[in-house]
Amino acid sequence: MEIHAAQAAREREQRIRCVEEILLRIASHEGVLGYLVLNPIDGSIFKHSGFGGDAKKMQKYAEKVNDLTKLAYSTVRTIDWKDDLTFLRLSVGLTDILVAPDVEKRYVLVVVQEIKQ
Amino acid sequence: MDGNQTNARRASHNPNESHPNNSQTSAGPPDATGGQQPGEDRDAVVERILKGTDPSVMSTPVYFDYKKDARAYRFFPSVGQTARHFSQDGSTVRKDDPEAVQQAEDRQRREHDTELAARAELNPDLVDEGVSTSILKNQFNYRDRGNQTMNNCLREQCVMTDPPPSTNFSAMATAWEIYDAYEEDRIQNEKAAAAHKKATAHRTGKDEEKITLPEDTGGSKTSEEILSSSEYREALKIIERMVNQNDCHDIIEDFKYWEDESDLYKEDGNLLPLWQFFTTKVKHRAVTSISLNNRYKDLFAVGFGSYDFQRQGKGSIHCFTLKNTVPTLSGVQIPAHPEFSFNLESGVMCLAFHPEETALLACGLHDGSVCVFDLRIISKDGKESVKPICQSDVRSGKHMDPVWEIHWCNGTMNLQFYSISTDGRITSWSLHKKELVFKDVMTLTTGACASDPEAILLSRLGGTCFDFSVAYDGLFIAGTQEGSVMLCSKGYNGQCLVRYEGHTMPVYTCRWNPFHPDIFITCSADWTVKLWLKNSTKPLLTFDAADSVGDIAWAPYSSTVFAAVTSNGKVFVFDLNKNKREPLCTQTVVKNAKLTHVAFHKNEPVLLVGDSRGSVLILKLSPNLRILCKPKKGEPDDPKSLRKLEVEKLDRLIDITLRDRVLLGQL
Repeated sequence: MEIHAAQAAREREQRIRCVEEILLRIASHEGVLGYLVLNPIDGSIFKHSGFGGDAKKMQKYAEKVNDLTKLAYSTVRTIDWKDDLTFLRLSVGLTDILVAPDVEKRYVLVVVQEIKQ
Repeated sequence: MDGNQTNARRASHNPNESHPNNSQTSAGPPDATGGQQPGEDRDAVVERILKGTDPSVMSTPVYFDYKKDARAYRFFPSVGQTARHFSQDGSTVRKDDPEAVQQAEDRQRREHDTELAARAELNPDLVDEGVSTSILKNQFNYRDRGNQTMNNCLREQCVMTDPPPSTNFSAMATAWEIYDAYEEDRIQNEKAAAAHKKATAHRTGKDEEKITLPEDTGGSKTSEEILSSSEYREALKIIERMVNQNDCHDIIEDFKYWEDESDLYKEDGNLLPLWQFFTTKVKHRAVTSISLNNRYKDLFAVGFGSYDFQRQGKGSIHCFTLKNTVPTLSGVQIPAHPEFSFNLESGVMCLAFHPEETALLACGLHDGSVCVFDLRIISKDGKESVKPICQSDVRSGKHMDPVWEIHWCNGTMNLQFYSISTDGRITSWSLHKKELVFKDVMTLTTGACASDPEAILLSRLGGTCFDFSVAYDGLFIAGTQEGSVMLCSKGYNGQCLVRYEGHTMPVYTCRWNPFHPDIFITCSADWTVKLWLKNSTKPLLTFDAADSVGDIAWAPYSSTVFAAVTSNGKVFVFDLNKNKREPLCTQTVVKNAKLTHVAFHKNEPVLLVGDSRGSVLILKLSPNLRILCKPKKGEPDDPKSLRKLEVEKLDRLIDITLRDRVLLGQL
């Protein structure tokens, strides 16, 4: 029992480290304004980076993208109710908003990126 | 005269109504015409009549009928419609009226009775005659009694009725919500049915299974648990790939749809550089091997080691994917992130993916070991080293020199691969449970018969490369460090079948043609690439590359196209159908580095080129380099026929070349 617990803990730490590395690579990417990790239930922010430290801008992105994600999820499942929304991409001018919601609605990943000309 | 003038004046004003006006004028006087119009308006008014009913009488009164058979409320038959302003009943009557006569008679009778009673009071004889004397009222002949019905007192009572409480409700019924509720209900029914079956079985005593309730997971997960789950990592991977795709969108467009228009006006072609894969985890190490996955066409494995004999260090394997690419900006190199990484104690010299079990990756090391990795086993991100599932050691018969090439067997029951080393052994390895079992297939020797043990050792040849024939089962060609190429068989352990002499320096790569069973190609450090026919010990064609050739590869789409890379950073692409002597494309793709390996992608027209500084370049072939045989009209175009056309093309080339050699007297 203890061996299994230790192994699970080690795996979890390993996964956390891998996740941190990917997040760091995304954040340090050229053209990425920032990323958010949202709680879809109430729209609160689990984790954030970038956006020049502007909390108001982050909150605005969080609210708008969360509502839009719910609408997109409903649209996808209305067309085919066995289907699920796994990725959503918005192109607005030279800005792309990439959203990766969880199927079980535990988190929503949002990355805002500037597209080069 | 006056009438005529009137008619003319009206006709000028109302030309459309001249006719009826004329008739009216002739019928009567002019005044009647003006009077009719108000009459027509009056006729349209709603018609009303006068009735004799009294408007103040609104409804019919109702009375209660107390008859035994009825006992119901009834309407009065009719209601009087006469309204009275003043009504008075007086006490005046006429003398000769019947009522007055009646009143006089009553009064007379009452006086007569009173007189009789008074006379009877005085005269006792009248009493005997029966005259009544009870005229005056007293308590015995007049009785006063009060009578009243039972009346309940009036009460005032208020009643307030509250309607049931109501709230506003709004919801949206979508198809997926209906489906979710239906699915949940179905699952619960299935669980109930299963529980019922178990209960029945338990009651009958046939089974004594324990029905354990599922453990309740703690309420809602904390954010730390969510952010450390595997689904979150998968979502992050998708996001990273999309971010990189946004940056590489122009390169991706070129990768899929670039067609060089200038190829229409010239014979040769060129290569378009797309991406450059390198990682900061590998420094000062050369690309020693490139292996493409058979199932996932975007995945390729790169082995890193060192070709420098003096400077040997650790090796590593990184699996990259074309989905997670980074742009190659001018002047700045961004490292790509590998999907899988394995670190090894010795330099990796060769790699091979299994053709069917595509998760198995065999690699040969510089210290003579061979090991097998499984990508499905927990692939970590390079921090902790992932152990191979099998690795050879001294007891299991590892090679004494670097392992230069590995090939998996196709279609065998057990997993088996072959390896070649500079110690002269070609060994087959079988993957059993927890161990590798080796068996020597052949030992490369010069063929000289000697009984002296030292001479036997001296006659060993160092094997550098080998390739198995797809058409001839069991046959393979092997290249050696001494420059000879041999055709060998798995059946004969001691000696080779054919020995090809032509190269003077180590042969780096030998490859069978994927279409023609009798053609193979070799490249060597002596700056030449040679094309061989299986039945001839002399090379069919020789190509000079002006530098040491690191690797060659046949194209999977054409039987006459191959690519070669050299140590001065050049990539050559030949199409023997177009030009037998000169390459169609000679392009320098790197500076200050040697090109070590080349591989063709199986589906896309791109080349993978590895250099000595740890980079893998992705180059796209222009249309002139990938011209296919087209079937003539009426001929079928299924893959088998196309393959036959390719074989015929190469056969034609061989015939021409042989005829040229006969003419030149080179035989």
